Amino acid sequence: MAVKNINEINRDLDAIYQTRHVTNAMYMLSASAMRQGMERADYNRAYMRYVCTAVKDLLEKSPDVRNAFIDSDGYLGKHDTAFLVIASDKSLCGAYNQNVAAVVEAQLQRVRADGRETVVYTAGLKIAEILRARGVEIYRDFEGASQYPSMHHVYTIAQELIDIYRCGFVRDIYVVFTEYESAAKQSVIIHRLLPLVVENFETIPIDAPYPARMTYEPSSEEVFNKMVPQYLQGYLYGCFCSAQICENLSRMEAMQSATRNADEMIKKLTTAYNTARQLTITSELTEIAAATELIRHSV
Amino acid sequence: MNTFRLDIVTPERRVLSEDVEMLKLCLPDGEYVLLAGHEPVTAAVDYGLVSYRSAAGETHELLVADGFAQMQADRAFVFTDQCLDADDLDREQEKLERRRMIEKARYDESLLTHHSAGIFLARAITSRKRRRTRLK
Repeated sequence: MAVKNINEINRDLDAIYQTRHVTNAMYMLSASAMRQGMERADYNRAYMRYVCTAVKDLLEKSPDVRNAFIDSDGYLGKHDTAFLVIASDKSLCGAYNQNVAAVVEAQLQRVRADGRETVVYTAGLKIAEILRARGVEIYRDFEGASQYPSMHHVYTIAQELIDIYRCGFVRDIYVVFTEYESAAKQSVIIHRLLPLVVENFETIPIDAPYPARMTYEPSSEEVFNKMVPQYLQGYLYGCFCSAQICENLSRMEAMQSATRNADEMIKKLTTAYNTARQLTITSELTEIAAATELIRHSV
Repeated sequence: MNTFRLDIVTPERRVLSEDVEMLKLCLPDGEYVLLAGHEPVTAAVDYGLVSYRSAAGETHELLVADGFAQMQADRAFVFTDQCLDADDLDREQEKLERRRMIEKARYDESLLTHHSAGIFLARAITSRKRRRTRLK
């Protein structure tokens, strides 16, 4: 019985050691991806500070600038609201995808309760799968965009969103993603992408104020029309970077916890193995001693 | 000749940061030249060539996508979503395609590795569960 136990424990130990190798490797990969994401996000933050300051200055100096990006006049009444949901292409990252899906589902219910139609875009295979399983119809999934954020993907997504907005397919566009605030705090947020929320720019702190006289070439409207896509692309790129950091952070936590559990199980199984081995040795010794006694008496 | 700092930036990287003597932009209504000491200006930049003369007197050309440029206090910024070296477009195009292919390959490989790891973990857990059930 004890021998069989030892074999079973050995097999269990092998499986757990291998599992631990996988979870540990995934932890290290996620840590490296997160560091890269942090660098990208830092650069993007500096870029967005410049762009937002430029937009704010233009809106202050030319308050009459009004176009489709601010007022949704071109709306034709096909669908009301579009959502771009940014989450993960892959699983094994704790409740990361589920948290985003829960927020999206609640928001969709709220919007539909108001009698409005919705269009859902996703960036992430897993989130698309989860939302489909919950009965949400996905209009288009931008596969691969969330794992390695690049301007190539962001440009495609931003252009599609701007196009559906400008041609009057939707009245407003929201982006749903997990915002990274610190290693201890990440939250799923819903941000209105279009039409622009002008009030958001009013609160932006400016490092160095612009000169009072700024010329706009050829006109402030033309400049604004070029600025907004830059702002949207920069913002979207930042969303993707933030989501990627949060995804990897969640995966790191999940893998760390799995590795810790594996370590605990290895410890328990090693103790069980040693006890079983000790029992086998003791029982063998007892048998030998008994046999020796028997032989001595029979002689 | 007086120089000013020129930065060409995209949301993901800084393409150029150099002292230049002159910057020529492609605006919706024609070309626009900026020199050191120019009055503060923000300009809409159209898809096309941006050329600049470096402090060493060499002229370079870059192909930029839509965006905007800003000049104030002898510092110019060009904000765009893409920028390529116009002197060697074929090589730039090749670099871009190679980068996209690498990104795609990395993505596919990463998905595959992830799925394999998932399958491996599932198999390890299932076999352990099965052994436990058998023991009971």
